Amino acid sequence: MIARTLPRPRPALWPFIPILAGFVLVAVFAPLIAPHDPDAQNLLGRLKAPGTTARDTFYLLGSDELGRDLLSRIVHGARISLAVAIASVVASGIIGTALGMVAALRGGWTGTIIMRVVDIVLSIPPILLAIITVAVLGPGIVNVVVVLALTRWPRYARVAYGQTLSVVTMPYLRIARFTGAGPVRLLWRHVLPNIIGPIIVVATLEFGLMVLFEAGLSFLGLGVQPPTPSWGSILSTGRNYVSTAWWIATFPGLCLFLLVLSVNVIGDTLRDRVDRGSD
Amino acid sequence: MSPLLAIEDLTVEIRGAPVVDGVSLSIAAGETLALVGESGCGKSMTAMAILGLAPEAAAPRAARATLDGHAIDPARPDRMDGLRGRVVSTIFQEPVLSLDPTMRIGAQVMEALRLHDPMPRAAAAERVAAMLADVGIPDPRLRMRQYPHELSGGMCQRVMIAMALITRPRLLIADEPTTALDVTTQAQILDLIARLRDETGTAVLLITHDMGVVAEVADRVAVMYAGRIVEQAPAATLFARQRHPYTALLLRTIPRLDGPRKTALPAIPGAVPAPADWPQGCRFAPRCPLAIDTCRAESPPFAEVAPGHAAACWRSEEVT
Repeated sequence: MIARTLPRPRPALWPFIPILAGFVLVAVFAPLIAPHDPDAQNLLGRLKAPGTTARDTFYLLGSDELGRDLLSRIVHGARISLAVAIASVVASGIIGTALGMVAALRGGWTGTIIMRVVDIVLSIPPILLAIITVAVLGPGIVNVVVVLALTRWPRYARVAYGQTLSVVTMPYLRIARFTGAGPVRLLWRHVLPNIIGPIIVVATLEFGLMVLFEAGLSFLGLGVQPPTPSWGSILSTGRNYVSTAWWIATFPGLCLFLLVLSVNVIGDTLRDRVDRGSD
Repeated sequence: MSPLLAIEDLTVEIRGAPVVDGVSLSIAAGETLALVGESGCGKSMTAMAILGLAPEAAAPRAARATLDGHAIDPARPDRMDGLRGRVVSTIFQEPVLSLDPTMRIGAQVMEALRLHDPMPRAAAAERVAAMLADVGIPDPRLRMRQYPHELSGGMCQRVMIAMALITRPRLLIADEPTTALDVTTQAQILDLIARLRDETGTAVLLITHDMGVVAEVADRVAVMYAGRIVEQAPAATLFARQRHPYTALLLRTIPRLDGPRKTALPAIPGAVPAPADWPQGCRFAPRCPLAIDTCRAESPPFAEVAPGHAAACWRSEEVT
């Protein structure tokens, strides 16, 4: 009881909003921001340390094993990270929310089957499931989104299911149903607007995870394929040179850390606000 | 003329116990019938069953049921599909919870209208504004753009009434429409329902536990106890002379301004027993001051005791 009344210590929100906004801007304007072509190789300027110049090229964050500018690759990698995360959050969010609402509204066999499938998918280790799916579908950026959508929808389904159950008993839904609103109209106009708050919170928290999953899959070579820059694949090659060229693995790792941290702090704050709002 | 709504022998069971047990009702066009009883007597379930909203597990059934000439069946909600809105509408107890918090007032009332009567938005908005003004909402164009949380409970109930009546139904089922409202608002809402009934000829089935409300608007009264109707009569007749001890006691529980002061408020001893514990014989017998052995042994028939006045009591002559 005491624990509940005391405010939970939470990191301050203010530094993280500009960080996230910064990543988004960098991703959107990547071609304008990147000082060099991310794929341009310079075999005479391999593994240059940050701040060095080789053959008229200035490497602010150093160069990788093929002499490509690390900063340009990280800037373009932000695009991949955010695009994959947004696409997979939207896809899995739509699938999960729709299935969860239908399960709660229809109930009976339909509801039982949907929610048991949710349990099954949740019980499989996500990375393992992703690896198996990629192994079947083949690697690539579109397939990464497909994999993440197919493996991450159950969390939305659970939240949507629970929220819909509590909304369904409300008199206004009984009235909407009685006035003759069909199931699609009922879900779209009456249920969805009333459950969207918690869904958005889940989506925010999932967003950070999606960034990590994409990096993880790319790190394992199952995600974005070279030469397309992705933080995960840069990290993966950087691992081979970590004793001689520490910067290759360090900078994309730092970016991952900052992006995921800021998204999670924002998501946590959002969750607390929504919880308080529903009291 | 055949009645607008006629239900015969309606039964609803919850876990094997009949919560509504052989209820028969009829309402003529333009008439207000009040269904009165304590909490748990089955009056709301009766309304739900008529509307086809009783849970499937409750096995609702009726020997015969017609609504505006259409055969309906409490067990077949789909039979109501064409009748909702056009023939029958409903208002529930909690006006604030009855409005979708994420939809503007105008959009909600418009939805009720356009689902039954497809028309262009502008024309519908016109009708909605007129209807809202009609139920006494000042500045309807402004209110239409607002959300339910910006309105008071009384305003929300007016919106609900507007939603229910905008399709010009033949029958309005109002389940405790004023319970959640304060007394002044209650009176306004009751006046509003009575006025709209007189203007449109809509029949009203009013479900309430409040005899004061009944006295104000009802033409006819049916008193329900433990799943059965125990007395039914025109309102004036019933208030003048009760033929069932339960009705008599119920009327005596209304505090009076001109009565003796500083006396304890009268109450009926005991409570409505749970459906599973309903006694054999007359279900009111355990709480009845007039109960004799016959009452405890045998259920009294629901019979006419005077023209238009029926009661289910072995000792209806002795009730004062």
